[in-house]
Amino acid sequence: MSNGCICWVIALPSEAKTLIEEFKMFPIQGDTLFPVYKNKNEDEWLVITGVGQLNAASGASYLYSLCPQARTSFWINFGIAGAGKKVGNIGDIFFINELRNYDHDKVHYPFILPQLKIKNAMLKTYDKPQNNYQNSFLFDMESWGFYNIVQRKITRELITIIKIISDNSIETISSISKDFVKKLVKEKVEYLVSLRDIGNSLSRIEMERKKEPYIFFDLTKNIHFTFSQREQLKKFLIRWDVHFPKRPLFPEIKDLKDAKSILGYLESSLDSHVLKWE
Amino acid sequence: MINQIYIENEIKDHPRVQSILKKFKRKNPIFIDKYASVFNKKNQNFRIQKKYPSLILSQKKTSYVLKTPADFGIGNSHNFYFSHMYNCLYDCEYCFLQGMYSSADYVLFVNFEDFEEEIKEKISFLKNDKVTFFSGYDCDSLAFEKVSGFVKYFLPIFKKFPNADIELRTKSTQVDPLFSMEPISNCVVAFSLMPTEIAKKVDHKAPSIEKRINTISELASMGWKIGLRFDPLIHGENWKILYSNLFENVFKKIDKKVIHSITLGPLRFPKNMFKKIISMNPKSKLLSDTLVLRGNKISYSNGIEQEMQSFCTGLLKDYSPETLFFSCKGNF
Ligand code: SF4
Repeated sequence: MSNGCICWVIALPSEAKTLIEEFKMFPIQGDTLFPVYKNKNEDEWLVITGVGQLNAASGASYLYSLCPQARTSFWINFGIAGAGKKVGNIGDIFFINELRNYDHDKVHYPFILPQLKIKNAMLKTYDKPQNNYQNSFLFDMESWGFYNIVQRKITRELITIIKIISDNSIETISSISKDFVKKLVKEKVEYLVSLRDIGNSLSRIEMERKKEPYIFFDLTKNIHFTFSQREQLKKFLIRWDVHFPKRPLFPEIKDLKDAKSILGYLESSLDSHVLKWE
Repeated sequence: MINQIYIENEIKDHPRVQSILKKFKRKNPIFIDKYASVFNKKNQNFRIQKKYPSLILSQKKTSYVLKTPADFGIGNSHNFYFSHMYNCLYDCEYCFLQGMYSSADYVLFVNFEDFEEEIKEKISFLKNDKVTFFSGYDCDSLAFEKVSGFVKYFLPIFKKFPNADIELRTKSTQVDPLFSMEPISNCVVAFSLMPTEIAKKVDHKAPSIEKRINTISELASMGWKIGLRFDPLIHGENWKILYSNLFENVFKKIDKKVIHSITLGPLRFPKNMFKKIISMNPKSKLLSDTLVLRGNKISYSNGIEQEMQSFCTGLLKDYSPETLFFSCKGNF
């Protein structure tokens, strides 16, 4: 079973710092459009996008293009957010279950993560900083841009938004500093670890589903298969794994030299197999 | 286990919504404009949702009652179906709902009264004919009864219209409402059955065949009319022995006199749905079996299908008169 993979999309370095340390990530080398970090196993990735919807969307797309497992990864937009006074206290952490944009009526309802013990709330994304603390929701400047782009690329169950309240009144805005943000994140890191575990388990489900049969690559590297033959091969190999999990295919086809005979062999073996239910 | 409850704003004060909410005290519902803002969106994953389904309380606005596809009936000249719910608690590998929707969340339409009105219209329009209404087309009729109260609401309505039969199609053994009322002569409680060995592998989360047979037997002894639905027929090693044993077990425990109808249905999927279904569940043995494209459907080869149909029909004739055999294939 694969490990699962996590992709973090974060606006500010101060929001990212604790995670980079906690999950032992390091910056990827070379010229990159955005700062991107990953861990040694390449199953934890993080991009620092800068502030605003456009940056969040571009940064997420950029990470998508870099991470080889992007399609089956669990995507997290994490950061600080303002909130109406009644929503919660500074430092409270929230899972976003309803996402809106100040500019139109469209709405996204992110998939509710099972077993995540974090309070839920609605969040609205604005293009400019807000200071209306009468609102009954959280507000930020990135989440809509992030979600809206990622949901076009991957299944919605693998996308989530988590926010920590950094300000809930005019007076509290002035205390937001880099160190203050780092402190807020540090205090909630255990929640982020448990979020990551859930994310990994969902990502694993998707990876298993989309996994290419193990010998597909070897076969198509050495023997020419047309496009439709490759598709057929993939289907046959998946069926082979299902029906003959303990029967390695390679020794059976090692003497077959072309696509047609390999496909013919697979087809006749699979078609003559009768399912055992008992 | 319900992951989250969503409620359409328009029905938040509906008494049925209120009473359902009482059953889930610890859930904070999310209010939405329409169920489609959560359900069946692009890029959703049926398999992940199936592990953590949410409940969406909604109201249906049109098309409460629809004509069944051709070749779908149990003896009456007019056949309709209605769906008070989309999706199901169980998780059968052959279920077409996985191909129909990209969400596995349960959508429950709470405006039963609107369904009732249209059912009554159809019945009165066809008052000189016999009509069957099938429920459980997009769900299991009984599995969600504790929450929905569907059977409790609809059976008393049908009781007043003897020219209209209702079929409750189910695998559920949660049949308390049926145990607690007098049998209704125009209600057929139809159970889907297959050999135990196969059901164990493909009817995930559904009650075992043994439990289903016991429930049938209890309902039968109370006088409820029983439908037996051997649908889909599933092929594999020793299938003849498996089906012979199944029929023997069923008829050993059930009084033949209460059997209203028997249907046999082949394993079949609309072509486009199959693609989606297998992509969601590529590890399924059943779906990875040798299935072929025949017209618009994916199924066993004609030879296997015919052989299974005629073998099983032959066996069933020993137990039950042929007049009770019907087709519920539903051509597509
Ligand atoms: S019981 Fe019926 S509706 Fe439910 S999953 Fe099984 S086949 Fe589908």
